[in-house]
Amino acid sequence: MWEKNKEFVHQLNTTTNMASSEEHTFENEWRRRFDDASETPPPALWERIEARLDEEEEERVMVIPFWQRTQQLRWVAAASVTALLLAVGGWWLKTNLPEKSGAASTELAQQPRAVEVTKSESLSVLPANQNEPKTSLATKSESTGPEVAAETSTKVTREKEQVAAAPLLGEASRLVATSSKRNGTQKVRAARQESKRPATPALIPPFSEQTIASVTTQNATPSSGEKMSAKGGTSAEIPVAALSEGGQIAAPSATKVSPEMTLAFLENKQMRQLLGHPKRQPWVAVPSEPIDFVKPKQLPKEYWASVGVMPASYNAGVEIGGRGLLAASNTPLYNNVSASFNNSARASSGTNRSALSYAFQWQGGVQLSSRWSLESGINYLQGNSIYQGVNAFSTLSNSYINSLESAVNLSDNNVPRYDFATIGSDKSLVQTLSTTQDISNSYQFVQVPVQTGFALIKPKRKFSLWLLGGVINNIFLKNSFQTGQDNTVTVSGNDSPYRRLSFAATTGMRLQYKVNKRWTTLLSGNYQRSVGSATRANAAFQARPQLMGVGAGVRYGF
Amino acid sequence: MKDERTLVEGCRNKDRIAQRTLYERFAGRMFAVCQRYTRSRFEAEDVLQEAFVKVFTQIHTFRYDCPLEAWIKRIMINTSISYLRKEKAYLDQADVDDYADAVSEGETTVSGMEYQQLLGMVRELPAGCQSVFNLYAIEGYQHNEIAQMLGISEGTSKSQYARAKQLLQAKILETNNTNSS
Repeated sequence: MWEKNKEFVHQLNTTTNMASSEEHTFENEWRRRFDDASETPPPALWERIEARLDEEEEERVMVIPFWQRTQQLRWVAAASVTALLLAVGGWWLKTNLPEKSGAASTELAQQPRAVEVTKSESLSVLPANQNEPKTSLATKSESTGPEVAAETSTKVTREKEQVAAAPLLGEASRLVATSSKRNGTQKVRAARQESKRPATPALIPPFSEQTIASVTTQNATPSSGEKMSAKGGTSAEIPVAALSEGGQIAAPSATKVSPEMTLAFLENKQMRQLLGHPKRQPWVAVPSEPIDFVKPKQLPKEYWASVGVMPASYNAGVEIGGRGLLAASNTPLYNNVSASFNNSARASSGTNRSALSYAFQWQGGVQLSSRWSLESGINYLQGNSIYQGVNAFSTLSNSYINSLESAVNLSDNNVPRYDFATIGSDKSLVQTLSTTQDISNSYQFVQVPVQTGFALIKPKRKFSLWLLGGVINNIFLKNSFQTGQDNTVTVSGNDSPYRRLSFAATTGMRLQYKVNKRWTTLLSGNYQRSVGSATRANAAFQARPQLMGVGAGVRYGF
Repeated sequence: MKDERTLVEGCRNKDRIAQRTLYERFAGRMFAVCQRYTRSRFEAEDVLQEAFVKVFTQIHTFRYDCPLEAWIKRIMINTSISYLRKEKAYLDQADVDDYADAVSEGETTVSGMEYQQLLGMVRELPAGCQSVFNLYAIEGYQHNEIAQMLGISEGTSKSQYARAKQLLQAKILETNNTNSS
């Protein structure tokens, strides 16, 4: 259709542009001959196109992987949302219980223990696997002293037979075993030829050691098998090097160092190169843990920036009373007011309930090592909390006034909302007919957290788990709460009863999923508890806010 | 049409089988297009490959507002032009004014000629002429459109076409003469 239009316009133009009909025929003729032309391209061309498409797709994944991959990773999203809902629900219940801090501390105490357990498990798995081939071989090696030069060669071949006959062997290990067998036999011949030299028997065990090391690791963990075999490959070169220097390094030292850990150390120091020392060289099936130990990864410092949002339950922890109360109680007004509030409200004594709150987080951090990180940033916290106070009618202001309102007013250095000084001691000013009232508070803070992170699961692969702890500087912006008249009063400024700057301890866990080299998604649980009161020392009430939240965010690494 | 739609959707989902089917369906005709714009089979293969990669990576931009074949063909032509541009085929272009002496039509009919012969003639045209001839005579673009596509002036396009036509007619005449004699 498109083509036809073109053609139509073309025809129109050519005819109107006084082009001859002959010219028209010329083009038509050529067009007719070429329009339906078809030539078969070479068959290999499709393969070339396909290869190019593969490349393009790989590049595309590198460039815009996030949205494409999120489509594939719907289950991750679903799991994250489920985890988030569960965590919010659970913590919601927890925050409504009075004993929160205790629960949180036990939770904290358990977390490191859990890590230890997993470590010890992974450690205990390895020796169990090593035991079968190792114990039998080790005992044999114990019996063969360096002085029994002729016997070692035969022993070693026996050991190889055992290894080859072990039922657990995979194909790869079998290959290794057979190949090393060849090496072994060659070496045996060499050993026989040079049997007079004291150093030669020592050349043989490293080979058997290598086979066993690779065999055991392949049995134990197939995933680490690659690493181990690679390691085996490098260590295989060592005896060759040792062979050349064999004449020189032949001083056997008979110190008894048997535990596996020290053997791992020996591995590190390449003690295998010491010849004439077959006893404790051979049976080192190096577990995966010591490798980390041997090569502490000094990562270059990585910096990141992250944004996140954290729905939370915020409990202001307001308690009316305190040092300010004593000072204020000398004034006749407070006597009256507080007497009426205290009398009627003693039973409830002001309970706090948390309400749905949220925080926006902009953070940056630096990864100091594979385990440790240091992070800071800025958060905006909207904390909603309900204080169940007492509401009484004040004849002075001819209005209802609630206990929180009263306490705030008493503590506020700003212009008092009621002229308490002139009230005098007329008890009739405040009626004692009081009722309870749920006073909604809306706090706003800017938070500056400084915290360290410790990797419980190191960020080797996609997932990592971090334990966080630190201090949060809470900068008070304002608090809006309901008065007895159901109006909303906003308290802010330097002279408010709230401290401009208060501190809170924070701890939490964070699960990280590395989407690609640059981007990481974050899911975190966070607990904050203020250190001391968030109100001034002379305030007639105290506030010890607590917060529990589950946040989600993304991080960009530089 | 519905079949074409499923094919396009398959290609959008990077389904290799759909991609292969689309390729098989259009490769022959598109190879012929590429042949016309280039100077050798080798070049045509290069362009065809490049253009099909573009087809598959840009298939999401296809809006069904024209036939799929026309869309693919347009990509072939654009790829050919950019290939030629890379080869600096347009640098030596100059306005050709002397196209008045056209050969009379009756002697230059192509009806009796083989496709390969005609293709050879087009390929032997000077680089600038070749593209303009293809775009104007075979594809049916206007000179102002061609000028835009090639980044030349409309006048150049017209004169290049006239020259192309002149050269082709001369070649046909020559071939007919050698055949008849």
